[in-house]
Amino acid sequence: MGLHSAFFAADGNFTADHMFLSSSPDDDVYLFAGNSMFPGDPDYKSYLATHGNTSETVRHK
Amino acid sequence: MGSKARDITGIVAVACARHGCVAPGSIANLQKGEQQKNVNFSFLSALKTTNVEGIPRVVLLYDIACQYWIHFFDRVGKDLLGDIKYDRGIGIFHVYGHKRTCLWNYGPTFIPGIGVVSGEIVESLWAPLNQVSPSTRSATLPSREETLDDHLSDSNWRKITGTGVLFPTFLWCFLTNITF
Repeated sequence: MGLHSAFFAADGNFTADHMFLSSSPDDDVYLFAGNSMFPGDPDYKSYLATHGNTSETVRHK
Repeated sequence: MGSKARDITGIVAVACARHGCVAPGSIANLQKGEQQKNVNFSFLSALKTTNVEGIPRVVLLYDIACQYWIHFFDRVGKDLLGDIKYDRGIGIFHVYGHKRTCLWNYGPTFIPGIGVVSGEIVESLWAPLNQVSPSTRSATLPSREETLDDHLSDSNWRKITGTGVLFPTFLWCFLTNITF
């Protein structure tokens, strides 16, 4: 066991949801896509497409 | 609101469990429930952006780590950085909602070498964000991302600048025997 450790805490939030909007994707311009707190959309989408869950975690509060 | 009316049902975040700085790139949008692949991506992103290379041990504190950890290495093993020992725990508030055996198997109080960490810091980051996120519900996706980005980055920034005042305050409280 190392003396030096990094600790991370993970959690979900269901308040930060988003309504489906019927706008054209071309109208959506990301000013700094993937350079801040949110990951780049293509990276994230391709990860989700190629990786699955062994089991889905239940929604909890 | 029904899930058919929503393209994103929520977010997952990974933050430093000690100080509560949000890891860049770790805010993952949820499409349906809090699926393990979303949390996997969030955690892997956090590992990439927070310079953990050379640190011998990484501990993940997650509400449902007892269930999440069972096949964790099967799912993300090949994407993890080598030479790091990965450990897990459940936040001290959530662990009491689990079955009794989770307390001594996953409770942060009983994990050697992690000090006194609650593992619930992200809950306190949600509190101010919950004031903001309802107004991003009907925004366009880029506008939503930038608004939430701004608020989370500001949270990190105030934490960095506030530390300069906080530690002298701690010292003063200690020296004058006043409880913070």
